[in-house]
Amino acid sequence: MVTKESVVTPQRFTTGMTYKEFIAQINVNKDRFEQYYESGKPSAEDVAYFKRAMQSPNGPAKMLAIAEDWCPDVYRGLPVVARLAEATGLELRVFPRDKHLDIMNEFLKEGQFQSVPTIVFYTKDHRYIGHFIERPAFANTDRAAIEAQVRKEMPGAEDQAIRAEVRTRTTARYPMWQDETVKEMRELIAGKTGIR
Amino acid sequence: MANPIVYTLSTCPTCDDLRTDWQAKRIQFEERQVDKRQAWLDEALVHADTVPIILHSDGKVEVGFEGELG
Repeated sequence: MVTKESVVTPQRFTTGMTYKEFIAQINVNKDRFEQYYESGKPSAEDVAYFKRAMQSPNGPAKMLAIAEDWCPDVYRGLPVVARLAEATGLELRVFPRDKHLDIMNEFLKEGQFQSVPTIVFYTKDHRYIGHFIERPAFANTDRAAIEAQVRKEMPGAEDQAIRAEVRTRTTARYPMWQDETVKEMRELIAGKTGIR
Repeated sequence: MANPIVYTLSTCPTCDDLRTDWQAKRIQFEERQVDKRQAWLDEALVHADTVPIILHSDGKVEVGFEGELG
C-alpha cells in the first residue's frame, strides 16, 4: 500500500459517515450494535495512551472504518472503536465496504480477503500510520481453545451441536474481545510510531 | 421433502458460486439473504457466523460450498 496513491484523500475521508450516521442507515443488527456499544468501554489506561499519542504530529488523529452491518466482527468491534473515538477525540469515519470497494482493496487481509471491520489510522495531516483487520489475535486463539474444550466435553457430538456450543461460549467472551481490540490497536500504534 | 434453505449474503462470491451451480443442476432451494432481513440473519447465526449455510430438510447443516466460505 502506498499512501501517495491512496484513494483515501483527505477530502474523501471527510465523506465517510460518523458512527451515528452509520447506525442510522444499517439494515440489520441494530440491537447488537447497541449491546456491544454498552459493553465496549476502553480502559482508562488505553484512553490515556491514545490521548498521549495524539499529541505527537506522528500520532493518530483520524480513524477510517470499513464495515458492514451483518458481520459479527463489525457489530462487536466497531462500537468499541466508536467509544474510543468519543473518549479520545479521534475522528472516526465509516465507509460501508460494498459501496467503497476501492478503499477496501487497499487494505485486503493477506492481500486477498475483504475482511471487515478494517480500521485505518492516519495522522492529523493524513499520513497513513497502520491498520487493524477484523479481530484481535487473542480472539482467534481464544476461539480455538474454546472449540478444543467443547470437543473434549462433547465427544461424538455432531458438528452443528459443537458449533452452537462454541458460539454460545464465544459470544459470552465478546466484551473481553472488545478490550483486546483496543489493546491490539494500541500496540499497533506504538509499534508504528514508537510512542509508548 | 422440503427444499433446503440456503443462508447467503447478497455480496458473497461463494454464495454466487453455489447459486449458479445449483441453478445449473436444477436443485431447488430457498435462499435467505441475511443482509436483507434480521430474522434470517438471526436464524443463520444459530448455525455459523459465515456463509453460505445450507440447512437441509432433515436438519443437517453444512457451512460453506465446495470447501469455500464467503
